[in-house]
Amino acid sequence: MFFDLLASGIALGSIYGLVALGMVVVYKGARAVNFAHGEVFATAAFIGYLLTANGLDYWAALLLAILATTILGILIERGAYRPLADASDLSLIIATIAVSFMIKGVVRTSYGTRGDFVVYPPIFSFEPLIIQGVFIQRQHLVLGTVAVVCMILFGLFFALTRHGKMMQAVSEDKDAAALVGINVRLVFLWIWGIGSLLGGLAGVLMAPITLVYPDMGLSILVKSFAAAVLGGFDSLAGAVIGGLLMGIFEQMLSGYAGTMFQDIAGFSVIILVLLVRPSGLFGSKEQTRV
Amino acid sequence: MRKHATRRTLAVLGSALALVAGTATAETPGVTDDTIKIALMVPLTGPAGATVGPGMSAGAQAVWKEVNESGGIHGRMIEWVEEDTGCSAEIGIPGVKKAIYDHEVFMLASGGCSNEILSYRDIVIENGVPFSVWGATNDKITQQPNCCIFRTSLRAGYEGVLQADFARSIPNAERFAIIAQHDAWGQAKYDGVMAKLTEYGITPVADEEMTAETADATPQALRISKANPDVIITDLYPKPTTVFLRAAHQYGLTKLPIILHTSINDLVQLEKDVGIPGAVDNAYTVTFTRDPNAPDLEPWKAKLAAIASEIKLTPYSMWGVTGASVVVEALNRAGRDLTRESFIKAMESIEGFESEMIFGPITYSMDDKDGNKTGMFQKLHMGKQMDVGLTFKTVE
Repeated sequence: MFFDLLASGIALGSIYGLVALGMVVVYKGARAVNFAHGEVFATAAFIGYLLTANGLDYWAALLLAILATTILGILIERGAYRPLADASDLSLIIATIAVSFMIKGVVRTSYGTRGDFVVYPPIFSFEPLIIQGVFIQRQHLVLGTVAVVCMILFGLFFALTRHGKMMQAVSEDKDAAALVGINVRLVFLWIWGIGSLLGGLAGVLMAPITLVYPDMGLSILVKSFAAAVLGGFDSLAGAVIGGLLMGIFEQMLSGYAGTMFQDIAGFSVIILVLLVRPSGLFGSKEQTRV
Repeated sequence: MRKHATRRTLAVLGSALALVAGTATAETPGVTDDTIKIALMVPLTGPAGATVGPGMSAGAQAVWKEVNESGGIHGRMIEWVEEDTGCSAEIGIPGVKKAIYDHEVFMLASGGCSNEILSYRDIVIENGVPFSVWGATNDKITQQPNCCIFRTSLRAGYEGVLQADFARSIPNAERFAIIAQHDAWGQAKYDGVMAKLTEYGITPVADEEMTAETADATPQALRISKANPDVIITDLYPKPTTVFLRAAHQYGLTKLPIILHTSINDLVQLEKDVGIPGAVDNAYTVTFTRDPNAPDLEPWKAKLAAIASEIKLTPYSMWGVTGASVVVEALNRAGRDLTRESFIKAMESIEGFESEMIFGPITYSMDDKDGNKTGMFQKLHMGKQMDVGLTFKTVE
C-alpha cells in the first residue's frame, strides 16, 4: 500500500508541481499571483479536447493548445495586469480572480452542449505498468518526466540566458531595469506568456486522467497554490518539490487516515506553512506574503 | 313585456354566470378559457445542460404536442415555457421566481437536479404551485409537509434500499464495501443503503468517500482492496465513477460485483469513458426506464425528432414523456373547473398509472408524493445492456 500511494502521490504531485511552476514563473517575474492560472489550465484541456475530437493527434493538439494558452496569458497581461501594474496587491488579486470567472464563463458557454464531462484520449492506454508489484500509469510517468524537465529547463533559463536574467532584473526593480534599457513591457508579456504556457502544458497532460469539465481549474488551483506556498513562491525547484510533497501528503493522508481527508490536504498545508514558515521550504525570506 | 323581462333576467343571469366562471379562471394563474401554461424547469446550461434538460423538455413537448393536436384537455391547449435552472441554485432560484411571478404559470414541471430544487423548494411550497418532478432524486424534495411537489423518478433513499437489497442477494456476499459522495445528491442514496444494511445487521467493511473533483482514486481503491469485500456499492456521479473504476481495475476490484445507480444509465458509454476493456463487466446499474431500443417504443423516436432532430430516446427524454403523461392524466381528472387545488387532488388520486416508458406504475396519495417505486437492475452482456431483475442473477 505504501509504495502504491507513494507512486500515485508522485504522479499527482507532478501535476501540482507543473501548475505551481507556472504560477511561480509569473510571481518571480511580475510579483503577481495569478489566480486565473487554474482556468488557463482548464482552457488548455478544453482546446486540446476540441482539437482531438476533430481529428488532430495528441501531440499536435497539445502544441496548439499550449500556443493558445500562451496567447491567453499575454492577453491577461495586457487586459488585467498592465493597467493595474502599479495598483495595490489586493487590486491585482481581485483582477486575476475576475479574469478566472470570465474565462470559466466562456468555457461554460462553449461547453454547454457536452454534458457532465468529456473524456480526453490518453497518449497510452489506461492499463498500468507493474514495476516491483507497484502499479504505475504510463500517463503519470509522462507527467512526472515533463515536470522535472520543465523545472530544469526553466532553472537554466533564469540562471543562464540573457532573457531569463532580464526577467529577474525586472522582477527585482522594474524602474532600474528600464533605466538600463530593458523593455519592461515586453518582459512582462514573456513572463505571463511563459507562465500560461506551463499551465496549458499541465492541462493537456492531465486531462486524460482528471477528465475534462468546466470547474476543473479551481481544485487544481488550490492544490497547486498549496504546492507553491509549501515550496516557496519564488523558487522554481520549490514549486516542483512542493508539488511532489503535496501529492504524496494528500495520497498518504487519505490512504492511511481516511479518504474523507483527501480534499482538505491542500488547505491544511497552506495554513500550516503560513503559520510555521511563511516563505516556504525554498523561498527567499524577503518575499511578500501571498 | 313579461317575455322581455324573462329574457332580460336570463341575460343578466348568463352574464353573472360568465362573470363568475371568468373570475374563477382569473384567480387561477396560468389558466385561461383555452390555455394552461406550464413552466418546464430544465437545466439547459451547466453540468446537465447537454443531456438531462433538453431530453426531458423534448419528451414533455412530444406528449403535450400530441395532446394539443387532438383537441387539448377539456377545451384547453397546453402552453409551455422553458426556464433554465443550470442545475444550480444561482440560476434555479431566479428561474423559478420568473416562472411563478412573471410568466404566472399554472404549474412547474420537469426538475432535473436535486441541489437546484432544494434551493427553491420553499418558494414553490409557499406559493402552493403544483410541481411534477421527473429527474431529481433527493428525499427532502418530497418529504412532508409538502402541499404540492410530486415525483415520477425514484427517491434516492429508496434507490439506496434497492442497491442494498440487490447487493445482499448476491450468493455468498458477506463483506460489503461502499464508496459515496457526501453531498446532497449522494448522501440521500448513501443513507438509504446504510439504513437497509443496518436493518440486515451488516456493517460495511469499507466506507470510503470521493468528491466530484477527486482526480485520483488510488487511496479509495487501496483501502477497499485491503478490506477484501465481496461486493462494492457506489454512489458517485458519472465522472468520479469513471475515475474510481480506473483505479479499482488496477487492484482487481472490477472482478467483484459493483452496484451503480440511476445516474449511470448507459453502461456502454461508461465502458467507453473508463477506457479499459473489462472494467465494467461486473457493474450492475439500477434504472426505472425501459430499454430505449424496445421495438414498441420505436414510434417515439420520430416524435422526439419532430421536436428537435438531435434528441434521441434516452432515459432523459423517457423521464420527460413519463412525467408529462402523468400531468396530462391529472389535468384530465381535474376537469374543466381547473384550479391548483383541484389539480393537486387529481394528482393525489392517481393510482396504478402505467407509462410505456417505465417498469412500474405511478401511485400517489395525500401523504406519499413519491409515485414510482419500481426499479430494474441491468448489466452489460455482449455489448448490450440487459435486464437482470431486482435480485442478482448471472446473465447468459
